[in-house]
Amino acid sequence: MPEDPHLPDAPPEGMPEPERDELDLRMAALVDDDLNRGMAFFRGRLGPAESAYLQACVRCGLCAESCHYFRTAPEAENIPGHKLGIVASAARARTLAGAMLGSLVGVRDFDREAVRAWMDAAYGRCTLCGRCSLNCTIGINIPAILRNARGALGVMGLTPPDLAVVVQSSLDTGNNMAIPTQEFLDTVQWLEEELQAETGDATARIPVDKVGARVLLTINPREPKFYPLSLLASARVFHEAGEDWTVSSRGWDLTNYALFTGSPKDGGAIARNLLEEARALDVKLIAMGECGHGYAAARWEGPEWLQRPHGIPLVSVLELLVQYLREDRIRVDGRRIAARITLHDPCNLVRHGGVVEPQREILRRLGVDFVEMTPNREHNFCCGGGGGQLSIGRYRNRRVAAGGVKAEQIRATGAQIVATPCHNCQDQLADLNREYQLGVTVQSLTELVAEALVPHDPTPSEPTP
Amino acid sequence: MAVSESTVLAALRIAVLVALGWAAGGLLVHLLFARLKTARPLHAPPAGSPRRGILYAFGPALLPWAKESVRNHLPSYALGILLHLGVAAAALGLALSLLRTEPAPALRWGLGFPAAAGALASLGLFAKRIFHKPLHALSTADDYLSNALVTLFLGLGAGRALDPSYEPWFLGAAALMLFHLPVGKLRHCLFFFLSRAGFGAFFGRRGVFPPRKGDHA
Repeated sequence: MPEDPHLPDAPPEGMPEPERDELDLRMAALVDDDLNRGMAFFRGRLGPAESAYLQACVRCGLCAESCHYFRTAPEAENIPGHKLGIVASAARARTLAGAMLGSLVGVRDFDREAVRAWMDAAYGRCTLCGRCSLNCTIGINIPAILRNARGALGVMGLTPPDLAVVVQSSLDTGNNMAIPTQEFLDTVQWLEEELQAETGDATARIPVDKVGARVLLTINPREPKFYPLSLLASARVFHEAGEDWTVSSRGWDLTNYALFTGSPKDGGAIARNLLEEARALDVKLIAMGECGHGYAAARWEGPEWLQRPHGIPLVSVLELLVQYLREDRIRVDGRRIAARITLHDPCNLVRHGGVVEPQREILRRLGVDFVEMTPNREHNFCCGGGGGQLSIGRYRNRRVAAGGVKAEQIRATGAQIVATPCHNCQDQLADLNREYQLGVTVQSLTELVAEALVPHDPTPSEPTP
Repeated sequence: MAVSESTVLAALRIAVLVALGWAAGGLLVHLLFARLKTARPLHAPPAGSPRRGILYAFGPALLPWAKESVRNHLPSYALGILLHLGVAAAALGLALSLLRTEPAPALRWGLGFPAAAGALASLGLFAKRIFHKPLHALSTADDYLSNALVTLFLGLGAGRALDPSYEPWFLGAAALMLFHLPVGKLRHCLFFFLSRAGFGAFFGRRGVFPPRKGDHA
C-alpha cells in the first residue's frame, strides 16, 4: 500500500488504510469557490514582511534540525523549509517567477491536493513554535506563514473539528471547556474554604467580580476543571502578598485557541470578551496566568486583531511573582522542595512572548536545585503540544513522537520536577512523562512558589470587626 | 564574414547590460509588489526596540554562538561565506569588464582568488544538494540551475581575472545568471534583506532580540 505522507498517521505496513475522517471528506468535496476564498484570505493577510518571506527561501535545509518533528522523524515533509514551500508554492502561482517558470521554481496550482498538503504541513507537522525561524539563514518567520495558511484552511471549513470545537466553546460560553458559571463559582467557593483552612485566616478570600481591584487574574480552564489546586496555589500567593485582586465570573479564561486556527475574527472576539470584562471591573492590571499561547494571544496578537491597544496593562503572572519576591511581599524557602528542578520554556511565552527571565529569577530565589535544559530560553525546543496539537486527535501519534526531543532534554537534566509556566505544556509533558517513562512531576511556577511559601504571620489573624 | 572578437565582446557587454537592466527591473517589481502590501499598524505596546532587533538580526544573530544551525553546519556556513565573497569579487570583475578596465596585476589575484574559492564552494554546495538526502528532497530544479549558473559565473570570473581570454565566456555566464536572477531563487539577493529586517523587527519589538540575560521584568 503506497504511503501517503499527507495522511494523518500513515499506518504500519500491512494495516488497512485508515478511514477517511470528516476532514478528509471535506477536503475531497472542495469546489473552486472554496479554493478561491481560501487563497483570497491567505493573500489578503500578507503584509510586506510576509510577502518577502514567501519569496525568500533558498532551500538551504539548515532549518531541518531545528524542528522537533524532523529530529524525531527525519523526513523531507518535516523540514520547515519544505512546509513553507508547500504553502509558498501555491501562493506564488501569480507572481512573476510563478508565471514565467511554474514548476521549475516549485510553483503549483492551488487545488485539492495542494490543500491536503497545506493541512498536513500546517497542522500535521507544525506546532507554530518558531524555532525554525531563529535558525533560518534568511530569517523567515515560518510560523507566521503557516498560521496564515491555517486561517485559509479555516475559511474553507477545514479547521480540525476537535480544535474548532474548543474555539467555538470560548465564543459561546466564555471559556474553552464550556464550564458553566455556577460550576466555576462553586469551585471557587470550595477553594476559598480551602484557602481559609490552609492559611488559618477566616478572612482570606478569592474575590470574584470585585470592582476596582488592582489585578484581574485570568486562568486556564484546566485549573477549575481538573486541577483546582493550581488555582488554590495562586490564591495562596496573592493572599500572602496582600494583593488586591479578583477573578471574573465571566471573563476568567485566558486561553485563545484562535491563535492556533489563524482566525483574526475569532481571536479578536475572544480577546474582546476578556477586555470588556476587565474594563467592566475597572481593574488596573490584567495578569495572565501561566499559559504560553494565552499570554501571546492577549499581549501581542489581541491588539492587532482588535486594531487598537487594550488600554489596560497586561502582564504575565510570573512578573507579579517576581515583584512580590523582590519586594519581600512573599517569602519562600525552597528547601521544602527536595528535588532537582528543570525548566521548560513555553514557546509562545518565551520565544514569541519575550517573557524569558522572570521564571528563572523565581527559581533562583526559591533556592532550589535548578538545572537548565540545553538549549533554553528563546532557543528552547517545543514540548510538541503547542499549536493546538493537544486538541487535535488526528495527529496525536506525531505529537507524542515529536515530543521525544523534549523528553531527552528532560532526561539529560536528571531532574525530578519539570517546572513550566504553561498549562498546555504541562499536559503535553504529562503525556511525554508517561510515554517515555521519565519519572518526573510537572508543576507550574506558582505551585512551586506556594509550596515554598513561608507565611509572614504564621498565627491566624484576628477576624476583622 | 568572420565576426571580429571586438564585435563579439561588444555584443556580450550589451547582453550583460540588458540582463542587468532586466534583473534590476525584475527586483524592483518584486520590491514594489511586496511593498504594495499594506503594513498593518501595530497596536500592542512594544517590549523592546524593532531597530535594535534588526541590528541584532543582521549581526550577532548570524554568528555561530547565537545560531544553532550555523554551529551544527560550520562547513556549509563556511562554504556559503566563501561563495558570497566570491560573488562580490566576480561582480567587481564584471563591473571592470563592462568599463573595459584591466585590473592591476595585484587586483587580478585579489579578484581571481576569492572568485575561484567561491566557485569551489558553490560546487561543494551543489554536491551537497545532490548527495545529502534531506537537502536533495527539499530541492527544486531552480536550486540546481541557480547553483550551476553561479558556479559558472564564479569560475569564469576567476578565469577572467587571471586571463583576459576568458572574457567572452565570463560575460556570457554573467548575462545568463542575471537573466535568471529575478525569476529564480537568486532573487534572495533582495529578499534576504527584506526578510531579515522583518524578522529582526518582529523579535526586537517583542523584546526577544537582542537576548537579555538577567533582569527581564
